[in-house]
Amino acid sequence: MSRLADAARRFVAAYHAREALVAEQAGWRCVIALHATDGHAVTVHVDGGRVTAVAQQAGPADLVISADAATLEDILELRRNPNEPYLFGELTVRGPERDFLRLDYIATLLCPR
Amino acid sequence: MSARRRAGDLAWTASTADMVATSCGTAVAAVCALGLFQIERLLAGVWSVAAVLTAGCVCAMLARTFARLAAVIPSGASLLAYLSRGFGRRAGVAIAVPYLLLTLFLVGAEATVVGLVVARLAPVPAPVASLVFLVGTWLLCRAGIQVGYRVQALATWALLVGLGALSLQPIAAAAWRGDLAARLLPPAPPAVDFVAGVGLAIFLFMGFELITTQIEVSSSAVVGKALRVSVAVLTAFYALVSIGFSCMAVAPRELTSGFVPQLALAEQAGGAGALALVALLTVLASFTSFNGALLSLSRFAYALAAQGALPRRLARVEPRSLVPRGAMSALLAIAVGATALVAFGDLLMPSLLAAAVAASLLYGGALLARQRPPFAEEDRRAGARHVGIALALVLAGLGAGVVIDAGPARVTLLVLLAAAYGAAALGCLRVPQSARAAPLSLARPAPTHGD
Repeated sequence: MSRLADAARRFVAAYHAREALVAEQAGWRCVIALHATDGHAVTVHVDGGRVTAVAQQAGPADLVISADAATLEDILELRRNPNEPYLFGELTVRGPERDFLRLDYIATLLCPR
Repeated sequence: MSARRRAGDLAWTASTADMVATSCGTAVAAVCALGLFQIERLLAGVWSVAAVLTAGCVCAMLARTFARLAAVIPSGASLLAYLSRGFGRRAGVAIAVPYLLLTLFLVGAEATVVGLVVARLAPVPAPVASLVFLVGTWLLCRAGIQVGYRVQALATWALLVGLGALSLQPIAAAAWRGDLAARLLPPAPPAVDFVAGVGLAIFLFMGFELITTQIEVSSSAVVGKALRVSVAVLTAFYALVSIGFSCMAVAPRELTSGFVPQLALAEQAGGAGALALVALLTVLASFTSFNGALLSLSRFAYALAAQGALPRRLARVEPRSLVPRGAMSALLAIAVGATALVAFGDLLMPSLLAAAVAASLLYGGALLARQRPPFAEEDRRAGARHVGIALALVLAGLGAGVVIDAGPARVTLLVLLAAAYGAAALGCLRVPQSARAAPLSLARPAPTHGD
């Protein structure tokens, strides 16, 4: 398993542990691709607000998030707020704004900083 | 919107036409007529048109630059992201934040014009109409209601076609009177006036590049093409309206309190019907501009607050609408304050001039960033690089020209610039330079967020 996929699974575990937060996202359906510009890719499937699969490969996605592997791992392991690399151009997103805002909301809530 | 779906692609993207309309709609605000009128006072006739065309050429080069920046860093953080990657985070904040702050201050000018327009047509005091406009738009944004691309496009094209058509009437009337040549060929202005006129004309394009913030729902190719097309459309539109102002039968030489140039044009060209139509289009243009500014700037303020660069309470997001309501309320307070300063403190012209200076400096910064990694190509010709650097210096000179030629508005203009750049300098001190954070256990409890 790649470090990115491992970090993604740990992020999912942290998210699922917050039942109220998961319940808030009920009805959200989205496929998210995490693309490390210097390494691997991971695809995360969300259905009804819960993550149903984390695949260690690139695939069709609603939301594509790109950054270097270290930045993605820092965010997935809740060491960095995603806003920081986003604001300063170290992380980019493509996809519908509503999905991006929801993911940003979740990641910001989970990140203790 | 065009729908498509294949491996690795997004479910939908915004089209070039959507992006052109959004770019022109952001640039063409109610205060642009005031900017054009100010250029008319400085230069008049073909010299005004020459200033607009010169600014158009500069912005065409800027369009290519922003297309390159957006292609390399396709980020919704746009200007801040490009400048931060080119010069470092603190320099990025120092250059981008004053531009965004003065854009917000320009909302005060915009709301003031809306108040004046409404007060001309209805028995409502102008300040009350301005306040209703600000609070009404804020309430819609707070509920998460965003103006769609189609509405934005409709409002933009209606305004461009409407004002463009009205501008033809004074031109035809001047030709009928036989004084078209006299109107179009006044004596050559002093060089410093022309430089200031070009600086002001660049202000008319201000915001055209902000479609780069929407690259996440589009593509680099679409945004690049839309930037070029929108500069061409805006240049043609402003040149036409500029000639229309030059040919007005009664051309006021002073920008008196309560004077709204587009209404004067409508009154001379088409009477009461045209007046009502232009008033409606002006309010619609202002609404789409403020709606977009509130939504994008509130996200920006939210992100800065999440970083600790602004008070943390601004980083709260309403879970249902996903709107950062704290940041949005703070922006409303600033917009109301700016409107009060513009309306009662006679800051209309200084706010326009300050925005023109900030735009010149930001555009110059973007041109310089384009010459640096990660934006510069290894095999790029030295000549192209030198042209970019020279244009950046020219833009800085245009900004200086606006300050020098500001006349009685100069002191207030300098105070506004000092406030904006001072606030940005304070923000710089709170921006983390380090990109890496210390390891942290996932088991550590997270604080509660949300309203």
